[in-house]
Amino acid sequence: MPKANLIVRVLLAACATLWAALAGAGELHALITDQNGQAMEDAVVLARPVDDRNAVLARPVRNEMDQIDKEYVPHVKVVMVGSKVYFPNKDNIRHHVYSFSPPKVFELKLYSGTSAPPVLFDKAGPVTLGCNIHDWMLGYIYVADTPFFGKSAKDGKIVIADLPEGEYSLRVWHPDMKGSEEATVRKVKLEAAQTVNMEWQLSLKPVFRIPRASVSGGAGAYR
Amino acid sequence: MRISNLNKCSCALLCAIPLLGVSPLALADWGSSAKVEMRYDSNINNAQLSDDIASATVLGVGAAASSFFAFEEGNSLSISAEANGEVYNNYSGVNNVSLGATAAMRKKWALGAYAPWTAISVSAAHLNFDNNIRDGWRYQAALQGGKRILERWDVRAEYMLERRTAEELPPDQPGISGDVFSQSNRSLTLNAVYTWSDTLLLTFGTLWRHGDVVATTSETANMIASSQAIAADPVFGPHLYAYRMTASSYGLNVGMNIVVAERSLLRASMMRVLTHAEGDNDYARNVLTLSWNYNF
Repeated sequence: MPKANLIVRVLLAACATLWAALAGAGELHALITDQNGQAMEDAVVLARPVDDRNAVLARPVRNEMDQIDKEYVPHVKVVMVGSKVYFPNKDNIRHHVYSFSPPKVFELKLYSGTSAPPVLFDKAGPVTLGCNIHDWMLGYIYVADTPFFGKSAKDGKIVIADLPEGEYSLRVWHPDMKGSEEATVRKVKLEAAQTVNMEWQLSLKPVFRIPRASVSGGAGAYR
Repeated sequence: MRISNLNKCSCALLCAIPLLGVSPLALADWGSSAKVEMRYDSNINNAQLSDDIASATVLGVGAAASSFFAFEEGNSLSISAEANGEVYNNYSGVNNVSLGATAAMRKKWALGAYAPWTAISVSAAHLNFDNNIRDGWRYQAALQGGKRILERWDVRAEYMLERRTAEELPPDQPGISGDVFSQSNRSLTLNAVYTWSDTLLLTFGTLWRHGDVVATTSETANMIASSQAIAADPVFGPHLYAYRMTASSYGLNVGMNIVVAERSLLRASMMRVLTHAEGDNDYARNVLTLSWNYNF
């Protein structure tokens, strides 16, 4: 990204934040549950302004997806389009990060520590991460096309603050959801200083994860 | 494969580490594990006649330490040392302890969890029995390959050469060797793992094995005529003999693995093996195993 462009974006973001504060920013409170009514962690809610004039750009922040004890931490991370993400390896061994997902196909070959360069995520959508050494390692980066997003905590709740007045298109994504994001889209109009409460109940597909446990398949029992 | 060749393979694998241009100790993934196993074996002496068949319940314990080295281009090397012990309820002569080491070089042929892989491994272990006529070394060399073919199905195959050495016993029959516990064989196993859930994995396996077997049973003219070696085997009775003969075995195995905690795995399995040996010594074995593994 050219430096001048970046400065303009930062200034726009600062102006928008100031404008939102002066006008009285709104808040979106969301609750995400599964088909059984259980709270769902790691669901992503995106609020995209219908009027693009309200589509302010986020301030660039340092994004990291850690690797700790042979797992991606956090399991789900949300970044905005154009973000660079670092993949620090906090284990004492080497990892080999990769993704086959259409929004970002990439590979960080075997490395340890913080030696891997950041990866630019320039297309919106979910990106599934794997490790070529440890097949069970699974993580997600959701690349958002709006600066207004949040991720649910264990109680299934999300708060998206500092929303300028206007109409928004809301949608939800979760790695285990059945169906598409488009099926979750809702429109909401937010007045100044207004708080809106929303709930989504998602149907989940059967969760499959490559097990961490090593099973020989019985060959050892033959000897 | 001769023993000297196996040792050369082991040395070659170990020497390959520095040649790959990395500092192995700094990058090693060290691990250790412990195992407790209870096993029922319906025919531990490979006998055909019901009067000769000896069954046993076996308590086994084991511990292993391993290190794993990941290299570029999907290559990896694992080295492990293992100690095991077994106690038999009725036949203390086959109680044993063993100490061994394994080195395996693995190649993953593409990126991702569904990539096929191949491996070559060599291992050596020394086995010490209460009754020392079975004491000796066990050497194994294996070619392995596998692939996750579907989301829940992981398959693998292994072709193994095995050789066991033991002290040569005095001949019992004129003109027939007494070196009954030195054996060699080759085997092919095909295994599949089905992931039922995060905590339950089912395993299915088949076995073909050809080579030497040792059957301890009553003396018959047919057994003597078809044996390559014969020696008295006091472990199973004062008047029984151990016969080494060539045989082919076919087996089936099913197992259930339960992940009881992040580092803890409970396994139950059943195996049935049918063997046809020279001299028409045909026998069957059923083995039920319950084991618990813990990774530190």
